[in-house]
Amino acid sequence: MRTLCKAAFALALVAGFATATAQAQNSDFITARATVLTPLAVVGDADLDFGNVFPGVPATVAVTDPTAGHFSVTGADNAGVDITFALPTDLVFAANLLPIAGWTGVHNTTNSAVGGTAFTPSAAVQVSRLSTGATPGELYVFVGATVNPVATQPAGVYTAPVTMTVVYNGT
Amino acid sequence: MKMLAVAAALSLLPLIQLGAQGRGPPLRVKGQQSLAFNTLLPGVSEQVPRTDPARSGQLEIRGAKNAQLMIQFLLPQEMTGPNGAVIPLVFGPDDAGFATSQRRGSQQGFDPSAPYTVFLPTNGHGFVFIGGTAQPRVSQPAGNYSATVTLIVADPGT
Repeated sequence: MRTLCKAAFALALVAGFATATAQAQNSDFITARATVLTPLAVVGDADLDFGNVFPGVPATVAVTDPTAGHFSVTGADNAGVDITFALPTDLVFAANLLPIAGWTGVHNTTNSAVGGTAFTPSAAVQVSRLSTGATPGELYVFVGATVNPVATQPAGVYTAPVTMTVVYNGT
Repeated sequence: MKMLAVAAALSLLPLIQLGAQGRGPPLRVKGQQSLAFNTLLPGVSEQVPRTDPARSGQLEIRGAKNAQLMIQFLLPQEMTGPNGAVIPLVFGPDDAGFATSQRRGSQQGFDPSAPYTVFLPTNGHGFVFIGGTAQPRVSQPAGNYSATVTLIVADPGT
C-alpha cells in the first residue's frame, strides 16, 4: 500500500510538471526573404582578328576597328561589375608562337567603342557599370592588341583564347 | 487509505499548475519583422546586421515580469526560390540579440545556434533580433527566395 501511494504521488507530480512546462512555452516565426536580380551573361561575339600578317611586320588591331574583339554583357540594370582578363602572350600554330602584346580596351554601355572608357585589359580588376534605364542592363567591351611576327615566322593560322570574366561587385 | 493517498496526490496538480501560471500572463512570442536581404546580386554575399533597423528580423516576447526564459532559434540553412533553387544562409555567433526595448542599440548579442537564457524586465516585454548572411552563387537564378526562422521560448520554471 505504501509503495502504491508513493507511485501515485510521483505520477501526479510528473504529470503536473509536464503540464506546467507545456503551458509555459510558445513559439512564432518570421520570414527570411530576398530577391535575386538577373545573373550576368557574357558573350564573346566577335574574335580579335589580325587577318593576314606578314613575317617581320607588326600588326595592330585598334579597339575601334571592325576586327576588334567584342564582348556583350547583360545583367541587372545599373549594377557595378568587375572585369578581368586572362590573356595569351602568344598566338599558337602547331609548335610555333606569334607574340601578342599591347592590349587595349574600351568598355561602354552602348554598343560602340567610340565614347567609351579606355582601359588596359589585364588580370587586374577593371571596374565598370551596366547601363541604366534598360532591362536588362548592358555593357560592351572592345579589345585590341598588336602581334609581332618575326622575320622567319612560319606561315599558318595562329590562335589563342582571350577570356574575359565579369562579376557583380555589389555596388 | 489507498483512496486517500491518490486523492492527496491528485490534489497537488492544481497547486503545481498554479505555481507556474501564477507568475504572470501567459508566455507569448510574436514575429514582428522579417529578416530582409532585399535585392541580391548573383555571386555577391550580403550580410544583415542584427542592429539593422529596417532589415534585421525581430520578434517580441511577452511574459511575466522578471521571468527567466530560455530561447532557441530554429534556423534555416538556406532560402528556397524558383524551381527549388536555394541560397545558403549563414548565422554567426553574434548574429542574434536580445533587448528589453525596441532600441536595437541596447541589444545583448548571442549565438542564435544555441539556447540562450534571458530575463524579462518588470514590464514583461522583451525583443529578439536576428541578422545573418546570404550567399548567392554566381549562377544564382533570379527570383524571390524565402525561408522560415522560428523562435521557441520556454519558461524552465525555475
